[in-house]
Amino acid sequence: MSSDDRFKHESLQDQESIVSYLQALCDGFQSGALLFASDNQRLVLKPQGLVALEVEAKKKNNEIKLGIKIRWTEEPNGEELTMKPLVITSVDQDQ
Amino acid sequence: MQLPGGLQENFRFLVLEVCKQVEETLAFLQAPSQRQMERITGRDDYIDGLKSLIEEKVYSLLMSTVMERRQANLLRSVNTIATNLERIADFAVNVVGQMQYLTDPAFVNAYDHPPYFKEVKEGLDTILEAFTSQDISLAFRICQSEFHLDDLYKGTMNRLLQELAQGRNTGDLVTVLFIFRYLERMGDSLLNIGEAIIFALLGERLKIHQYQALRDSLANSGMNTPISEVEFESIWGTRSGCRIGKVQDKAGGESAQRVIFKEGNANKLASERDNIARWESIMPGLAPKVFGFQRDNGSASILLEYLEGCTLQELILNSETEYQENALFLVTETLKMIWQNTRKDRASDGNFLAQLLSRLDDVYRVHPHFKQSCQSIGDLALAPLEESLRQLQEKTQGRLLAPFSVFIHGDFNANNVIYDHNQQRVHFIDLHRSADSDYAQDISVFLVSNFRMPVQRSVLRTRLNRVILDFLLFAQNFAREQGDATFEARLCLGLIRSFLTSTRFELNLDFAKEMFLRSCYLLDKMNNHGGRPWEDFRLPPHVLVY
Repeated sequence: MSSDDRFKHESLQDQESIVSYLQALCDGFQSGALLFASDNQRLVLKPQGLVALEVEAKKKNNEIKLGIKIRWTEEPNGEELTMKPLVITSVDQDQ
Repeated sequence: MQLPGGLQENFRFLVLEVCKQVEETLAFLQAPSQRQMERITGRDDYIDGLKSLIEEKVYSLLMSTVMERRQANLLRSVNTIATNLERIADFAVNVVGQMQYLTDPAFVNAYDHPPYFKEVKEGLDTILEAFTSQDISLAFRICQSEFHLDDLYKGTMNRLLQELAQGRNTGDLVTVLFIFRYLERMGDSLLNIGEAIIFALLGERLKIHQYQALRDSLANSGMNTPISEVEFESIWGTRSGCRIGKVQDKAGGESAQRVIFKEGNANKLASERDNIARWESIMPGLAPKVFGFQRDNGSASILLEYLEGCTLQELILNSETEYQENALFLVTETLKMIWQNTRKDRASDGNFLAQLLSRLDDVYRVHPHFKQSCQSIGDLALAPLEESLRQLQEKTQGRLLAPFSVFIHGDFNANNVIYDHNQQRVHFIDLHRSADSDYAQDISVFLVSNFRMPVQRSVLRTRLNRVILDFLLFAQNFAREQGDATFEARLCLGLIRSFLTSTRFELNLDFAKEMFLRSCYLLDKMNNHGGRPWEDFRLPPHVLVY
């Protein structure tokens, strides 16, 4: 995944129609891959390791905001960080 | 009218010098001499200097003095006249300059140039009098020099083309063509000069054909006011290809008759005239009276009654709730009466989506970021706008028709309705699109024209939301009374169209996006209605609330 792979969608929904969007995201997490496609660009996100979740609900007068932010880090080559044995070697000072 | 700061003298000298320049150019053509040529080029420098002097004085007066608009217009017109006089002098020098390319200078005298000079001279000789005595008919005569010169040039040009085709003396013929071309261009400058004088008189930049149209319209309207006695005020500038202005008697006062003058596309204005006649038969006094109509080739002009009152838009933005409610009541009662009286039991198609698709390019030109790509999230496909529109068009074409037609306004914006508080009535204006059609058309346009008023979330916006919802309720009730079960679905089509096409005029990007997203939202709503009957479709009213 290049550093500027991006997918952005904006729309208006109502209580009923928003469910299909949230469901599509849930399905992605469940299957292990979220696919975001836009014309000939595809962005596949595979949640791994720890996934940070931030839910923020705000009510200021009539303005309501519900923010859902999900973050994780993807390791190079898609490898997950695994425990490697710690090796300690002595180095000859004169070398 | 006298000019301040010695300008009058400078101006008079400039006119006289240019006259002399033109006279001597004629003399040079008839008998060229080195001395005369030097005199002509020498005078050109003097003319340039005079023109710069006038320009400088005009600008410094305009910048340093607080003056009435009329006086400022006069100064502006002096400047335009000076610029064009200097151009005429330049053309004279160009004519003289061309003579050196002729193998024999007498060659040019085989062509009838004196009438050109006579025409230019007559135009120039009229300038001072037209300007100082503020005589519009003299200004008009100056403008006409251009048309006479064009006619002369056409004749000369035809002769030269024929001779060129014979292939002899081609170099000399091309030089002669240039000489006559410069003479013809003097006419263009004379036209600008005449128009500048008219501008000083009427305070409005009218093109000569618009001026002619206004003059003829006034003459044919039975208004006994000569053109020099009227004041022209452009009130809406140029709108939908028409020049619109308010004309009133200079005397002003209570008795002054005011009219609206529109000049523009002939078909559009002819439709407006015909539609007004139809409105008059439906509800006398609802539309403005037509005082005159003139057609001239592709364009036309119309003189309309000036209606007292304010537009509904002005009323909603500036007045108290009580007045608004009263006005809205009058509008809804008027509409109800019109719709009931013009109802014809014949299915009609508002053609909303076809209209929208034809204007989509204009929308993208203003808001290129609205162009969507094909998106999906997992298995959820998000179709781009065009595709969604076509899908809906397929689902609705021929299947979602109004069960009856009524005579609709056709461009029922809140600023096309005039509210007269004193008379307690409303008027409709801008009627060139009126037709027997689906009333959902007028309702959607009206609702969105209120929605898109430049008002942020505030007390005023809350009021605007109220107006919108009240009007929607009125329309829903009417539909119910008429047994029109698919009204809400058709209104939704109209709103999809109006929200999206309104973004063309909205340069506030956030608000434009707001309308764009609302249009998309309604579009998805309709597309997701499944195969259920359109009678079951309900318009979500919150889409109209901001």
